[in-house]
Amino acid sequence: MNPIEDSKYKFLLDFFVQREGDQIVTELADIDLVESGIIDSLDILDLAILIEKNIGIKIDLSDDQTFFAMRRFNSIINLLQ
Amino acid sequence: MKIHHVGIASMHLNTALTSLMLAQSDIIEEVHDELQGNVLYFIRQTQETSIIELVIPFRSNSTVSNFTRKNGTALHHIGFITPSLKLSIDKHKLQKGHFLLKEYKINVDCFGGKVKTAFVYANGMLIEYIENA
Repeated sequence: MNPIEDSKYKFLLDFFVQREGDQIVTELADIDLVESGIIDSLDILDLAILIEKNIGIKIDLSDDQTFFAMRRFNSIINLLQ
Repeated sequence: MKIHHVGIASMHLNTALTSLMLAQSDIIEEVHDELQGNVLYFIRQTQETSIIELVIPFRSNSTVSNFTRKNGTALHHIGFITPSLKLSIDKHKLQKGHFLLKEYKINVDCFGGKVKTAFVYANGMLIEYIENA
C-alpha cells in the first residue's frame, strides 16, 4: 500500500496538508521536505512529538541517519514500520 | 536545580548585546562550535552572576539559524550542571515529548575546561546538560 494512503499515518499527511494545502499530497512521496522549504530542523522536532503522540513511537533524533530520514515522507514511514 | 547558564540565540552578535544592554567588553570567552555551526560568546559580569551564552549561527541552514529566523533574538536554552549526563538523559527519555538531540564534548574555559554536553528537547523547551569531563 502507498504509505500516503495508509490511514495509520493520516495524521502525518494532515500535518503537511495543513501547512501546504491539498496539492502537497501529490508531491509528498518525491520531495526532500527540508530542501523544498516545507519544513526545517525545528519542524522535525515537532514532527517527532506528533508521531509519539499519535502512535507512541519515540524517534531517536540524536542519530544522524534517523534525523536525515525525517526529511522525506516515505523514509519517515519506513522509520515507523 | 540551579541554572548554570542561559543561552540566547541571535542572528547577529551586536543585536544580542544591545538587547541585553551588554558590551563587547563583557565577553569573556569566544568558542567556535564547528559541529553545530555556531559561534558561542560567553558573558559573566561577576562571579556572583550567571553565565550568559550568546549563540550566533554562522551556517544559514543550521538549527539555530532556523530558530533565529522564527524567533529573532530569544531565549534558546537553559543550561544545568549534572553529575551524570547519562542519568539526566535517561530520565528525559522516559517522558513523552522529550527527545535527546545531541551529545558531544566541547572545551569551554568558563565551564571549567573540557565538558560533556547534551541537548534535550522537552516539549518545546531546549535544555542543555553539562558534565565535567
